[in-house]
Amino acid sequence: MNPQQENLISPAQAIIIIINYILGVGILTLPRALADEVGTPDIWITILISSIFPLAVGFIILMLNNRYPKKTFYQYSYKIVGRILSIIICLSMVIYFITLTSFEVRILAEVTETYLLEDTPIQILIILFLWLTLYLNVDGLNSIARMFQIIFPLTVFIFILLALMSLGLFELKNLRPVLGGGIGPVLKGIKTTSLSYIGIEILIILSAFLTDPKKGKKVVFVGVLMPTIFYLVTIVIVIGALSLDGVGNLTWPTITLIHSFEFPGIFFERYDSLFLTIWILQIFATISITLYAASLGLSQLFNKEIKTFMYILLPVAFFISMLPQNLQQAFSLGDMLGNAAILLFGIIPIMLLVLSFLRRKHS
Amino acid sequence: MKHIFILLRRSFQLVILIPLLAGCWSSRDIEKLDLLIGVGVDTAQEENITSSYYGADSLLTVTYQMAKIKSNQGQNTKKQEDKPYTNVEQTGASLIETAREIIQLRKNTVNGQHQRLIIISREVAENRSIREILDFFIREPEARMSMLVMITDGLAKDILDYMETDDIPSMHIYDITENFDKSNKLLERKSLAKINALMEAQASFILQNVVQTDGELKLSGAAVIKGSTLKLIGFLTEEELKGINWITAQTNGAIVKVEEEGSDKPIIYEQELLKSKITPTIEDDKLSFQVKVKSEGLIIEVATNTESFSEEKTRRKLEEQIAEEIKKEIQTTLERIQKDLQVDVIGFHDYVRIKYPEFWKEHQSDWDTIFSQAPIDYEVQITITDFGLGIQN
Repeated sequence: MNPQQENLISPAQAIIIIINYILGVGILTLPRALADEVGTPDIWITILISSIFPLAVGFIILMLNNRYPKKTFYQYSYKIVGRILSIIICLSMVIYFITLTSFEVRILAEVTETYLLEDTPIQILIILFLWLTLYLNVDGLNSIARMFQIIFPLTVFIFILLALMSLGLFELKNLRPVLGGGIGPVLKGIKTTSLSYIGIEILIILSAFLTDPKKGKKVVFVGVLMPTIFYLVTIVIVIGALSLDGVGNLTWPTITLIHSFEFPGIFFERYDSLFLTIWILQIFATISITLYAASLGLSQLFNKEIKTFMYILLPVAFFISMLPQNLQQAFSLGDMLGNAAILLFGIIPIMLLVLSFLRRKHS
Repeated sequence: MKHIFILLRRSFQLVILIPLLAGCWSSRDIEKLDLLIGVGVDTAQEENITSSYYGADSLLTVTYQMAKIKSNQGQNTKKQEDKPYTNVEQTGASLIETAREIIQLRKNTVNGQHQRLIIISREVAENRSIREILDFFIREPEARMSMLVMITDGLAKDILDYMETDDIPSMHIYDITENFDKSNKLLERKSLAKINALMEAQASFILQNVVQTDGELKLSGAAVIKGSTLKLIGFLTEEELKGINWITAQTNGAIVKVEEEGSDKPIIYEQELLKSKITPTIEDDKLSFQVKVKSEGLIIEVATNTESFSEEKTRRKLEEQIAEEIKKEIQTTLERIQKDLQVDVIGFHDYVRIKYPEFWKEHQSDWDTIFSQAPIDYEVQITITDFGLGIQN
C-alpha cells in the first residue's frame, strides 16, 4: 500500500508543517544557550546568519528529491547507493526521528511538570502525549496537516500578544552595543542556533506528498523564514527585558520573562500558562510529524502497513524518553540529536546528490 | 472466537484509557491554599532560636505573609482585630527550611504564585550577600520574577505586621510603588527579574527602603548594594534619590522649589517632561561623563507678588534659578555616591559598555573604583512652558 496516494497536501499545508516542526524546544532555551555561547548582545545577528543553513539544507534535499519525483527518500535512496547502504541510512534516519520524538516529549513533560502539573508523574504525561500523537497519526499526513492549520494561527496570535505585553520590560540598552565585540563572538553561536532549526529535514519525505511539487522552493523559503522571525522576536524581547547577564542562570528564560511582568487590574495573572499552551501545541506538532516520519520510513523499507509501525514505535519512543536521568542529560541528548541531524541531513544528502549526478552521467 | 477477540480488544482499549481519568491529578482547591503575598527576612530574633544546631548568627527569621481567604462571607460581626492576613514566623538556616516548617503549623498548602514582595532587613543585607537570600526565589518555579525586592531599615517582620489600615501590608507597599510616576523621591520598581540581571552582572544597585513612621508604612530612601559583594553598604535619603531620578529621567513626578529674590517666598515648578543624556568620553585613557538634563514644566504654586511672569526676562531668570536648584540636588547625590559610597548605582556602566566595549571589558572588574574617580559634568536646561491656570496680573 502506498500512503502517498490518498494523502497529498497543498504547499501551504507543507509550509505550516515545517514551521510547526521547527518551532519547539529552542524557543524556550535558545536565549540562554546563545547568551552563554556568544557573550555579547548580538545574538540576534547570529540567528539571521544561522538561518542560511536550514535554507541550504532545504534546497539540497529538494534538488535531490526532484530527481526522483513523487518518491520519498526511503523509496529512492537504494537507486543511488544500493540496497544495503540505503537500508543503513534509512534506518539511521528512522532512529533519529524516533529519538527526536522521545527527546521532545521528554522536555514537554519536564516543563509541564515544573510549571503546570507538579504532582503528576512524568511518565503519565509522556504516555498521554504519545497516545494523542498516535491518535492524530493513524489517519495519515493529511489529518496531521489539518490539525497544524488549527494550531498555527493560535500560536501566532498568542505569541504576538505576549510579545507586546512584555514590551513594558524592554530596554534597548540591553541590546546595545551592536557588534561591540566584533563579528567573532557572533559566529561562535552558529552551531547552537542551527540546532534550533531542526525540522527542515522533514522535506526528505514531505516533498513527495506535495500536490504541486514546483512550489517546493517557496515551501522551503517561507518554512524557514517564519521560524526565523519567531526566534528573532523571542531573542530580542528576552534579552531586551532580562539582559544578557540576566538570562545566563535561568533554565527557561522565555518562561521567566513571562513570569516577570504583571498587569494590575486584570483578573488573569499568570500568562505563562497561556504561553505554555501554545508551546505545548508546538511540541505536540513536532512529535506528531516525527513519529509519522519514523513510521513511514519503516513502512516503506519493509513494505508493510504504516499503522503497525506507529503502534510498534510508540513504546519505543516512551522507552527512549525515559533514558535521560535528569534534565541535563536530556539537554545533552538534544545536542547529540543536533549533531546527528547535521550528519544525516546536512552532509549525506550532498554526497547522494553528487553520486546521483555521477550515476546519471554514466548511464 | 472472533467475538471474543473483539471483546478483548475493546476492553484493552478501555483499560489504557484509565490514566486519563487522572486528568486533574495536580489540582488543588483554592480553599485549601494559603496564598503567599509577601516574605520578610530578618536575622534570627533571640526568642525564636530554639535549637543551637546551627550557629545562631547565621540563622534567619523569615516571616511569611498570607492572605486570609474568607470562607464564609456572611459573618457579620467584624472583630476589631480581624486582619485580612496571617503572618507566620519561622527560624532556620535557609529559606526553604523555614518554608517547610510552615507545613507543620498550617493545615493548608502554601502557594507562592501570587507573591508580590520580599523585604530584607538591614541587618541581613549588611552581613550576607543578598544573592543568598534571593536564590531560592529565582530557582523556585512557583515564585514569580515580577515580585519586588526591598530593604528595611528596621525589622521586616514589623513592616509586615503594621495595623493602621485593613489592607495587606505587602499589597499596600506594592501598590505604593506605582506612585513612582508621581514622585521623584521614590525609586523605580525593581523586580526580581531585573535584580537577577544586576546581580549576575555584579553591578551595584539600589533598592527601595521601607520604614515605619508613626504606625504608617513609608517608602523612604534607598539601600545601596555593592556589586562586588552584593552586601548593603549604606542608605540614600529621599533627597539623594531625587538627584538619581534627575539623571535617570524615569519619573515625571518632580517639583522644584525656588525662592524669590529678596522676599524668600517660594515659587514652585512642576516638571512635566524630563529627558537626560549621559555621554562617556575617554581622553588619554581618562574617563569622564557629560550629563545633560532637559526638563519642561510649569509654575504650579506661587506665594509671591512678582510682576508678570510672562516677561521674557523674568522667565529666563526663573528658569536659571530652577536649573541651579536641580544642579545642587544632582551634586549632593553624586558626591554621596562617588565620594562616600564609591559605587555606580545609577547605571553609568551601561553607557561605557555601549560606547567603549573594549575599555569596559578591561575595567569591568574594578568599575566602581573607576566610576568614583571619573569626573562628571552636568548641565540642566529648564523650559517653563506654562503658568498653570492662574494668570498673573
